[in-house]
This record gives sequence, structure tokens and C-alpha cells, in this order.
Amino acid sequence: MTATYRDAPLVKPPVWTWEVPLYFFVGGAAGAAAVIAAAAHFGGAPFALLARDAKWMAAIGALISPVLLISDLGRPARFLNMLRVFKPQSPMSMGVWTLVLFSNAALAALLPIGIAADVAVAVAGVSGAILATYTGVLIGATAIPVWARHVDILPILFGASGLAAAVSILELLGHRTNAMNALGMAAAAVELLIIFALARRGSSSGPLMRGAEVLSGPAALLLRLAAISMPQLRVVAAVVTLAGSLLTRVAWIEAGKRRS
Amino acid sequence: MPGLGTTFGRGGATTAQQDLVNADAILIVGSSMAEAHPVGFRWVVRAREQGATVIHVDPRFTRTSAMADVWVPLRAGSDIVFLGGLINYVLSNGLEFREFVEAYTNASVLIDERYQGPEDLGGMFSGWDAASQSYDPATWAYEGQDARMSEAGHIRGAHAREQGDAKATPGPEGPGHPHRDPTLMHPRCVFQHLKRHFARYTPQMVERACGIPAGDFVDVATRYVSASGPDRTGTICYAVGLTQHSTGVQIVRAAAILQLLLGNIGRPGGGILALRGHASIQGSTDIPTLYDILPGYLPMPVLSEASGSSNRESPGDDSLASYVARYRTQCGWWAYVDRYLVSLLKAFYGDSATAANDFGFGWIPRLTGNHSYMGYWLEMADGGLEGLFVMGQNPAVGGPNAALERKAMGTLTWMVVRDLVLTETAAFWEEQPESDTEVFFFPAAGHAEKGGCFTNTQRLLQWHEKAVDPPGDARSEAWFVHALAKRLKARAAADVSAANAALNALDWQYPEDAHGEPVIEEVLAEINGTTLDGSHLTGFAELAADGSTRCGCWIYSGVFPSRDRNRARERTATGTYGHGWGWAWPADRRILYNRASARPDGRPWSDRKALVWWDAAAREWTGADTPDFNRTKPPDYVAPRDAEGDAGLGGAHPFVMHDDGLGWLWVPSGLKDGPLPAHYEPLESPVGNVVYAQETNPAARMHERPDNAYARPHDSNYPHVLTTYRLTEHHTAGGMSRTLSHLAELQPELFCEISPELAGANGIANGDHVRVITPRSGIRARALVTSRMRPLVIDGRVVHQVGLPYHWGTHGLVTGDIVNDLIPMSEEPNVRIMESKALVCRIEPA
Amino acid sequence: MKTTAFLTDSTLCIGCKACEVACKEWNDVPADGYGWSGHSYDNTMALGHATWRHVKFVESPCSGQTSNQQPTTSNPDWQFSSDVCKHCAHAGCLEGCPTGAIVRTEFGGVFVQEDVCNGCGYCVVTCPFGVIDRRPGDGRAFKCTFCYDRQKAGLKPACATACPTESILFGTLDEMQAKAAARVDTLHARGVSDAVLYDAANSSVGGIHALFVLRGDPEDFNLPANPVVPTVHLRAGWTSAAVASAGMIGGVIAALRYFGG
Ligand SMILES: Nc1nc2c(c(=O)[nH]1)N[C@H]1C(S)=C(S)[C@@H](COP(=O)(O)OP(=O)(O)OC[C@H]3O[C@@H](n4cnc5c(=O)[nH]c(N)nc54)[C@H](O)[C@@H]3O)O[C@H]1N2
Ligand SMILES: Nc1nc2c(c(=O)[nH]1)N[C@H]1C(S)=C(S)[C@@H](COP(=O)(O)OP(=O)(O)OC[C@H]3O[C@@H](n4cnc5c(=O)[nH]c(N)nc54)[C@H](O)[C@@H]3O)O[C@H]1N2
Ligand code: SF4
Ligand code: SF4
Ligand code: SF4
Ligand code: SF4
Ligand code: SF4
Ligand SMILES: [Mo]
Repeated sequence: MTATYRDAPLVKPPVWTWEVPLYFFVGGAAGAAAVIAAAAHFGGAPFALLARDAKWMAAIGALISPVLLISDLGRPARFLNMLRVFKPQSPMSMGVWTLVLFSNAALAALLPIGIAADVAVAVAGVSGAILATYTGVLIGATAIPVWARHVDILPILFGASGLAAAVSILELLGHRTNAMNALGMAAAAVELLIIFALARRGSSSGPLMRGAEVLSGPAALLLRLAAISMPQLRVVAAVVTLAGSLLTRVAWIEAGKRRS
Repeated sequence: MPGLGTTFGRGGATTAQQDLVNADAILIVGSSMAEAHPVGFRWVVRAREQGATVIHVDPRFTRTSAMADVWVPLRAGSDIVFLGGLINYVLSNGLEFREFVEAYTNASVLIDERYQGPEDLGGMFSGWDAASQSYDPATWAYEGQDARMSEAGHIRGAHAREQGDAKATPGPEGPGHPHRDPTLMHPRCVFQHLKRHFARYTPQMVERACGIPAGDFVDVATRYVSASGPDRTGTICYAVGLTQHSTGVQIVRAAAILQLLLGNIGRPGGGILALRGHASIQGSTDIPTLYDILPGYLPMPVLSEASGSSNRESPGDDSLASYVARYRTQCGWWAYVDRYLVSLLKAFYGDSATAANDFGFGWIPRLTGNHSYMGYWLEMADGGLEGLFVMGQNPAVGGPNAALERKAMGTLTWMVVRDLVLTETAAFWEEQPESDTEVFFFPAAGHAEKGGCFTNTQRLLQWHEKAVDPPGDARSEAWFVHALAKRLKARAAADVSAANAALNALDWQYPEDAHGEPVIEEVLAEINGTTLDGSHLTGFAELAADGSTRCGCWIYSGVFPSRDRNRARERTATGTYGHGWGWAWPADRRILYNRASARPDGRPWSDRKALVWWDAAAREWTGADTPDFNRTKPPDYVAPRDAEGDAGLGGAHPFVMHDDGLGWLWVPSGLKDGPLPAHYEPLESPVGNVVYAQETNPAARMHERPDNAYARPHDSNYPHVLTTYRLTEHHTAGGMSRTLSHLAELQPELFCEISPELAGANGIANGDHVRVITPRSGIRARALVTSRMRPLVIDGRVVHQVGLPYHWGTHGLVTGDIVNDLIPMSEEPNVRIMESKALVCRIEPA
Repeated sequence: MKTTAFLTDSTLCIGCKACEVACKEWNDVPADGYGWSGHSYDNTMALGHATWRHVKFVESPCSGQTSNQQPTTSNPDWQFSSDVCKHCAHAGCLEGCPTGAIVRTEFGGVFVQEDVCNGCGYCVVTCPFGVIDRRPGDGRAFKCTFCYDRQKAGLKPACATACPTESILFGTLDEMQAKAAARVDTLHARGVSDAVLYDAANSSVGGIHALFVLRGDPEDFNLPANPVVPTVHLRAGWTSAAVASAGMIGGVIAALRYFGG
């Protein structure tokens, strides 16, 4: 009998529970929504409705995200300890500060406060983009091999996934415009490229990841292409995209818990 | 510890653990020292780092083996062949430390011409009496002397002595002057007997019986035996891997003979380190919890025939005079047995003990038979006992044939258990709802919750202070015994019948502290000894036989030399041996028999191995240790023929407890199974005895009965050797480890260790549940399959060994089957220890 | 204050687990579960929130060496090695902790302030050695404190104090590094050719304050050949996030521009 620790896990698996992938999803969608909201806001009248709905989306996401984040803490009552320090080398710290900034801005953006609202919208848009992408840094800059190996891709993947989700929700809210479909297709295309890149890196993926990839990449892209001529498919495309986006986050967190 | 006691004179480790750093080789046999004595093992590690060779002889590759230079796997129960092989290797190659052997051992002494040994009698010694199933040692005596002359050497000897005794009759030349042949050539001298006796313990025999390839054996022999001579020494460490056998005492004897031949006694880096068990287990033989000795290894008096004993073999001890006559030797320190006993009686009975009433000798209870551990449990199982006190023991788990013991408890009317935790013993009735034994459970104070004294493995008395008050109703043992004694005395005072005379005479006056606890240092003062006006004695040399001194244990005298100096409490260690830290009996001597560290002329054997030597200018013995010798007796002192006591021993006689002052390669009396060790198979063995026709130790007792059944010899139903042992992570019966999470989690489940070969043959995989079965019972365990267990080839046939730690029971944070349900209740002849280290079993998937 | 360090020498370790128990006693660490592993004599199996010192048992048949000089032909090989938080020079846990709960003490140790930690769990994934873990129920993260309280009082850590064989040495980092190097030389000179020092000095962790001497391949002891402090990934990660953010903002603007409302 041989007994060594060669096959024992080298690092501890993440202790995060379901709130975290959900937070990644909500934050991603809200952040991307804020980007859309800002672009629409400054795009003027044609985009007024889009701006309104996207702002609401961002704001609602801005309310839900901290709740999810806090409820995952081992000691939720101590959430505010997050604000004791500002630590550039900690993606978690940066993320929390981004979330704080984003949440305030996204909520302020709803208020009729004139020029201040413009600033809020802009801030929400920029911080929203970071919110949607930093989660890739958060898990990438860790000791979990499968995450760290793809630290250069994960922010892009999560950004694309967040954008796709935001677009899909807006579509479900009725904004089934060409712009949205184009953004959806662009996001799906980016995800498809990333799938290829990951495959080339020799990443083996479980069924969860496979499912997420299929839904977010090829399925979403094909549905959206088809929807150009068959608009009724837009809703299906949106739902598939949303499912893919959520599953992507779940799959990546779960991948981190598996030995790799 | 009669193996050491008979050979050297005192039943204690001859050395100190710190001294291991001085060894050139360390042979650890019958102990997993790193596991059971991890703190002491630091000295082994240090010695190894300094270049000493460490050899571990064990059926299993243990944590100790991992730290050794050489691991020698052997079949459990074959140690006499291994050690006998070493002895033969020394003798047949002339490797003994000749000068040492000639001067300091009884190698040259001539033996009674009627003696016949295993060579002549198919494995038996002369003197066997089939009717009593025991030996008469008469023919083992020194030429011209009575076999039982040294019976008083109980400090070295057997606990049980229902056997006959005779008055010491010194030989024509006096006990200190036996017939000797200094050339060691006389065919009847001990040295030639030894050569003949061990001649058949060849490397090939070792291979056949132990399973150690002859080549490997010779390699190990060469390495250990080279640690001998003026400039080199080696130590042997052992524990219960040697003793828990039906030949346990003789195994230790074999180790002791080897050390004497190599000149490894009384010298730095030499000696035999008997690693003892519980924190004060040495203390509990010094001031015994045994039935057949009194404090200081004084034999318990025996009921005489005249007083109604049915034992025709023992004259009994009716009077102080007859007792003293029987146990006193002419020479050596047992010449003063009267002083020790009278002082003890004065401690017991105070003013009631007077010369007129034999100092109350008559009040000491008399032995009427075998009241040893097995003896009374079997009697209990048959309904012969009414009540039992169990204080600090968990026999329901730790005792041999534990199932029988639990059954026996059910026959009692009452049982008192004092423990830290609710043990399986206190809760035995849960599995016997029909029993109506009334159990009283008293919570006991732990060692940190009371002050007092431990005597450790190297005879060192160390005082410890109370750290915290015990919780709730928990009280110390001292409190309990004190309270019990006061109540008993109060009852006796109300009824002055003859039966209560001893109780009424008992002098029981201890001051109490605020909690009603007796002041424990007063007890130590009593043990140390005082004059009648209460001033402390400074050592046993001050004891008197006229009733002017009281002393609770003569060997401890000197530990508390004045009211303000409790030496057990001292904590300023100096030198290699840590003098100034605690106090070692006797007289703070750390290395016993250290006179032998000097040549007969008093100079050290070598500079490297100097310890104690004669300072001719100052005319005294001096050195790094307290001399274990009369400080001012010159090396050239010649004892007059008729001199007595210490004066009867010459200046080159280091073994001062022996009446001849010599180390005993040959034990003329004091052992029940022969003057020399002979290999017998364990009472249960899968193989036959390849050394002699006689299979098992004839003097051992099996107590075979339906609830204590044995496998037939070579029974194919039980093909494997089973051995049991400890884990570092647990303590004995588990009451102190299975109840603590920090320990319990480290070894949460009972497992058995088996080799990959045995596992494969039985379709067992690592982690499987298995059953280990013996004729007594079967238990469940997890299989730990490991190549640390190795099948051995015994006499041409593969024998597997199964290892089981025995710490589990039904209560505590982690539970498991009770391994000791598998062990039979057997008795080694001298100390009546059970054979729990070598038996037979089979194993099957569960 | 001088930086202090451990030198844990598995060639002197007897696997007694006194360090593991002493740590629990001193720090009042709760039970770690009562599961039997079947992995040699190790049942706690890994460092974690309830095991801050962990004794590993590496068992292999017939590798040919015991922990001392002479190679033997057929003995099993059984090594014990007491593991502990490495107190990394660049500590992933400390860098990643968003609350500042994890700090470097005046002794150079990495210390979790239990009154600050909010249980975010990020240190769990940023420790490259799998040491720190969040305790279920309690919610906070726990690991070896380097006996900060004892060190402050001028005492040795509890584990080093309890170790009977001086397998765990404690002293200044310089001193321990010198001793470790000398020890490996001694072992090599004795013929223990597979003795190695594990100090992670040539990795991004930048060295550790818990040095190990052991025999054979550190990976058999679950010590990574090349530990990586996660902060090295920050540049790639944030660059990627910046590109992604820019791409998203640009893409959205472009899409609205091009396709209109
Ligand atoms: N951690 C811990 N320490 C303890 C104890 C404890 O329970 N736990 N108990 C204390 C007590 S009470 C005692 S008595 C001592 C006992 O101390 P040890 O005697 O060292 O303890 P054991 O483990 O019973 O047995 C030692 C070794 O003997 C081996 N052995 C078995 N049969 C044979 C044989 O026939 N020949 C040889 N050569 N070896 C054999 C076993 O494989 C085992 O490795 O330990 C004391 N120290
Ligand atoms: N198979 C097998 N059986 C064996 C052995 C073996 O090697 N193999 N070894 C044998 C040996 S050497 C021994 S010593 C025995 C041990 O067997 P036991 O002596 O029966 O077992 P322990 O668990 O040591 O029991 C001691 C008890 O004392 C309690 N205790 C501790 N301190 C105090 C105190 O201050 N006061 C009181 N009142 N109680 C206290 C503890 O809680 C514990 O329950 O087992 C023997 N049995
Ligand atoms: S428990 Fe006590 S006696 Fe046993 S090794 Fe530890 S310190 Fe020594
Ligand atoms: S080993 Fe892990 S827990 Fe310890 S200091 Fe390094 S990163 Fe932190
Ligand atoms: S769990 Fe506590 S110690 Fe760990 S990173 Fe979060 S706040 Fe810091
Ligand atoms: S330094 Fe202290 S906290 Fe760390 S392992 Fe040792 S005893 Fe435990
Ligand atoms: S206390 Fe020392 S010898 Fe015991 S396991 Fe820990 S490091 Fe090894
Ligand atoms: Mo014992």
C-alpha cells in the first residue's frame, strides 16, 4: 500500500454557495444594463424608453446584488468591514467598492436631479462595465487552478455574458430592436470564440459547462441569426441566452470546486 | 519486574532515559517507544543524530521502526530465540566483555551438580513436580548452597510465593563467597552452562522460529554486539511487547543476560530501560497495588499451616522472627530486612507497634492463595466475591478476556468505581440488565486537580502541584481512602473485637486541608521515614529494627530529608542525569550498579565511558552520578568471611542487593520457570516449538474453561498470529482519550493492520470492515492494509500476523468493539501477566 | 521585531501528533470530525479551519531508505511531516482579504483578526497552499495564528514547544534558513541523498516562514512544486477586464448608433 498526498487536493475549494453565481449573473446583467442605459441616455430621445428600462434594470440589480453578496458572507452583519480598507491588490475589495459606486450611481440615475443625474448615469455606466467584468478577475486571480489558468479570458467571458443577459432582459421587456439583437449576436460570437480558445487550451469541461457553453454560444447565435427573418424567435433567443448566462456563472463556480 | 530484579537486584530500569544519548547502539525490542514513550524517545533521536545505531525489533513496522536504522520484523512470541541468538552469537564468537563478566557476574560460580537443563530434558529444567505443576528450584542452586538462600530478594523476585522456603544456609564459604572458577572453564560454572544452554540458538534457529533470515540476523547481531567493551556501550529498551507473554519474565532475563555479557550494566549508555506504563506505574510496584508484596518489595507474609493454611508447601510466617529469618540474607542490603519491616510496621501502627507485640506483625493480613488479578476475576466470575473497588482502572476494556470480566462484575453485590469519566466498567450493567450489582460511581480528581508524587519509568519521584480545584464532587484518591479509613476506624472503635484489632491499631492521623483532603506532603514524610519525634530521616541507612524509626517505604527514604526539603519537588537539573530535578530511588542514584562503570581497581573503563570512579586521594567514590555503592568502601576491600550486610560485600561487587554482590547470569532462585530463559511457544501458536520438544511454558497457567477457551495447537481454524498494542493517539482502555475530541478524532475507529498479502488472500481491501476471530470471541474492525505488516516464513511456512490496537469500547466520543474480548486469561508463572502480545486468530470480511 | 519562522524537519518527526494536539489545546480549536480515512495513520487529512497543525503520513513500500543514514534493502518507508500555514512572504490570503482582517504581525507572521473577518471566503481561494478555510457555523476564516499571543509574551508557539524531538524548530527566519541549509547538507553527507529543503524561495510566493526538510518529492507531501501567489494574475485579469469593459461600452454605443432606436 502506498499512501501519499499526491492526489490530495492542493487548494481548498471555494466555500461560496448559490448566492455567488447568482450575484455574478445579476451584477453582470445590471452592469451591462447600466452601460446600455448610459449609451441610451446620452443617445437622446430615440432611446428614451430604452434608457428608462435599462436604468430601472441597473437600479434593481444594484439593490439585489449587495443582498446576494451579503447573504453569502459567513458573518453578514460584518459586511461593512468591507469598507474598512481600499485594497487595489484585492479584486474582492475592488469589486465591493465598484459595487458601492455602481449601486449609488444606478439609484441616483433614477432621480430627477438634472445634471447630477447625467453624472450618475455616466458613473453607473462605467462602473457597470467594471461590475460586469471584474468577477472574472475575482475568480481568476486566485489559487484555484482552473480559474487562474483562464484569468485573461474570464473577464471578457463574464462581460459578454452580462451584456447578453442585459440585452435579453430588455428584449423580453419589449425592446426587440435590431440593436439589441446585434449586441446579443456580438456577445454570443465572443463567447463562441472563447469556447474555441478554452478548447485549444485543453480545458476539459463537465456537463454543466458544456450546457452553459452551448446555450450561450452556438445556440444563442443561431437563434439570433434565425430571428432576423423569424422575429418570433427573439423571445426564445432571449430566454436561451439568459439561461446560458446564469449557467455560465454556475458552471465556472462549480468548476472551481472540482479538483483540477 | 523479576526479570531485572533477579538478574541485577532491583526491579526497576537500571538507567535513565537521558543516558540514552551516551549509547553507541540502542536495541528497542518489545516496545514501540516512539509511540508509547514519545517524550523519552527524544533521547533516542538525539543519540541517533550523534551516530548511535538504533535497532527496532517488532512484528510491525511502527513509528519507532521508521526512526530506526534497522527494523527487524519477527514473529510475535519468539523473542527468546532472537535474544538467545544474540547471546549465542556473543558466546560462540568470544565477544563477551571478558573482564567485566569475570569480575562482576556470577559466570564463574559453580552450580549444583544435580542440575539438568532443557538440553538434557527435552526443554524442561530439573525439579519439575508434575503434581503441583511447578518446579522445585533446589537443583538450580549454587554448589553447596541452598536454593532459597536469597528468597528475601523479593525486590528482584516473583510476586507469588506460595512455594516453600527454607532458612538461608550459606555455603561452606559464606554467601558472598560461592565456589568459583575464575578461568570460566569448569564444566559446571555458569559460563559453561550458558554456552551449552544457548548453543542451539543459532542464526538458523532464529530464522526458523522468528522468521528473521539468518543473514539479516547476523548483520543485526554484529551491529548491536559491537556496542561493548571499555570504550563502547549499548542500551536495551523494552516494554510490554516483551512482558505480556507466558514467558515474559524470561524474555526480559534474556535481555539482561545479554547486557551483562556485553558489560552494558551500570555504565553510561548501557543498561536496560524498562519503559513503564501509566504515569506512576513504577510507583505502584514500589508502593504496591499488588497482592503479594508490601512497600519496598517486602514479601507479603504467608498464612502458615499451623494457622490453618491448606498450603503444605509454605511454612508460613507466624512471627516477625521467622519472617526475618526466612527473608534475611547474610550479605548485601537484604541483610537489613528487619529494619525495613519494623519501620514499616511502626508507620502502620504507630505507638501500638511494640517489640512486645512483634511490632504488630500479626496484624498484617496473610496470603492464603492466588489473589492475583486473574485469580480474583475468575473467583468473581464463579460468584465468589461480594464487592469490588475499581479505582483508576477500566477492566471492562483493558482486562484480558474482558467479556468474562464484565460477566464477573454482574455477580457482585456491589462495586465502587472511581474514575474521571463514566467508563465501560462503571456502565457494564447496560449490557447485563439482569445483573443486580449495585454500582457506586464516584467522580475522581484528575492529576492536575490534586498535588502529589509520580514515580516515573526511571524511578524518578517528581512532585506535581495542584493546578485547579476538581470540579463538583470530584475528589482525590487520597481523600477517598482517608475518608474510608476514618469511617472504618470509627466503626472498629465501636467494636473492639479481635477481628478489628488491626484497624484499631492502625495509626491514621493526617492533617486535612480546607477541602478535607489529607495534606499529601505528610504522607510523603511518612513514606520517607522519621524518628519517633518526627524528624525526617535522610536515607534508609538510618533505619533501625528496634522500633525507633518509622518508614512507609524504605527504598524511598531520603526523598524528604528534612521538613523544608522535599527533593521530589526540586527543579534545578544539572548535568547529563539531571540531578537536582526530582529524586530517584534509591538515594538519588540515576544509573544503578554504577560501581560497574569502573574497573575492579576503581579506575574508569575508559575516559569516554567514565561515570563513577574511586578517588584514591579523597578515598571515596565520585563521578557524575551518586555512587550506587558504599561511598567510602575502597575497591580493594575484601569482605571477611563472616561479615554481614554491606560489609559482607567486597569492593568490586557492584550488585549490592545480591548477597554475592554479582550480576546474575544464572538465577539460582527467585524464578518459577528456570534459572535460564528457554524458548517456549505462546500458549496459542500456529506453529510448533522448533527449539525444544516441550511446546509451552510448563509453569504457566491457562485457566482453561468454557468461557476462557483456547485454540488447539496448530489449529487450522486460527492460522494467523494476533498481537495487540497501543497507538500514540489513545491511552490504554480509552477512558482518557476516547472522551476527548482532540485525541478521539486522530484515531476515530478500531482498525486492524494486515499485510497486502493477507488482505489479498482473504479478499479484503483497505478500509473494508472485517471480523477478527479467536476462540473467545470475534470483533469488528476496519482493515488497514499496509506493507508495514509483513508475512514471515516460519520453519518453511508462511505465517501472517494481524495487529490490533486495543483502545476502543462502548462509551465516549468514538466507540468500537472491545479487543480484549479476544484475549484469554492466562498467567505467566512469575508475575502472572496475561499473554496479550501473541495469540492466534483468523480474519474474514464482515 | 525580528521575523520569526518554523523549521519543521520530517527526518526528526516521529508522527506523534503532539503538535497537532498542542495547537488545538492552546488555541481552543474545535473537533475536526470523527471520520476514519484509511490513509495510513492520518485521519484529519489536511489543514483547515479546525486543524492548524497537521501531521502527514507518507507511506510507501520498500523505497530503500529509513529516515537515518543507512539505506536498507527492504524496509517500508514511512515519513511523518507536520504541516502548518506557511506564513508566506507574499501571502495570497492577506493580499486577497477585502476587509483587512488578515495582517502581517511584527513577527512577520500572517494573522487573521477574528473580530474583523466577515467570512467572505476570498482568502480560502487565494491561499496557494490550501491552508485557510471558513468554519461552517461560525462563518469566519481560521488558520494558524503563529501563536501571535504566545510570541508577544515571549513564548515559543505551542506546537514547537510540545514537539518532543525538536522536529519543529522555531527562531528567527535567518537562523532557521541557515539551520535548514546546514541540515540538508548534513543529511546529504550521511547519504540521505533524497533530503530536500522546501522553502518556496524561487516562486512568486517569495519564500515562506515555515520551512520544511523532508525526503523525496515535496509533491508527495502535498507541497506544490511551484506555488503561485494569485496577485501575479492581477495584471492579466484587470487588462482583460479593461478590454472587456471598453469593448462593451464601445459595442453598445456602436450598436445604438448603427441600428438606432
Ligand atoms: N500513547 C500512549 N502511550 C502509552 C500508553 C498508551 O496507551 N498510549 N500506555 C502506557 C502503558 S500502560 C504501557 S504498559 C506502555 C507500553 O508501551 P509499549 O510496550 O511500547 O506498547 P505496546 O504498543 O503495547 O507494545 C509495543 C510493541 O510491541 C510489539 N510487539 C507485539 N508483540 C511482540 C513480540 O512478541 N515481540 C516483540 N519484540 N514485539 C512485540 C507491538 O507490535 C508494539 O509495537 O506504554 C505507555 N505509554
Ligand atoms: N490486549 C491488550 N490488553 C492490554 C494491554 C495490551 O498491550 N494489550 N496492556 C495492558 C496494560 S500494560 C495496562 S497498564 C492496562 C491498562 O488498562 P486499565 O488500567 O484498565 O486502563 P486505563 O484506561 O488506563 O484505566 C485508567 C482509568 O483511570 C482513570 N483515571 C485517570 N486518572 C485518574 C485518577 O487520578 N483517579 C482515578 N480514580 N481515576 C483516574 C482514567 O479515566 C481511566 O479510565 O491494559 C492492559 N491490557
Ligand atoms: S504522557 Fe507523560 S509519560 Fe507519556 S510520553 Fe508524554 S510526558 Fe512522557
Ligand atoms: S499559506 Fe496560505 S494561509 Fe498561510 S500565509 Fe500563505 S497564503 Fe496565507
Ligand atoms: S474570510 Fe475573512 S479573512 Fe478571509 S478574506 Fe474574507 S474577511 Fe478576510
Ligand atoms: S504556531 Fe500556534 S497556531 Fe500555529 S500551528 Fe503552532 S500552535 Fe497552532
Ligand atoms: S510533535 Fe514533533 S515529532 Fe510529534 S508529530 Fe509533531 S512535529 Fe512530529
Ligand atoms: Mo501498562
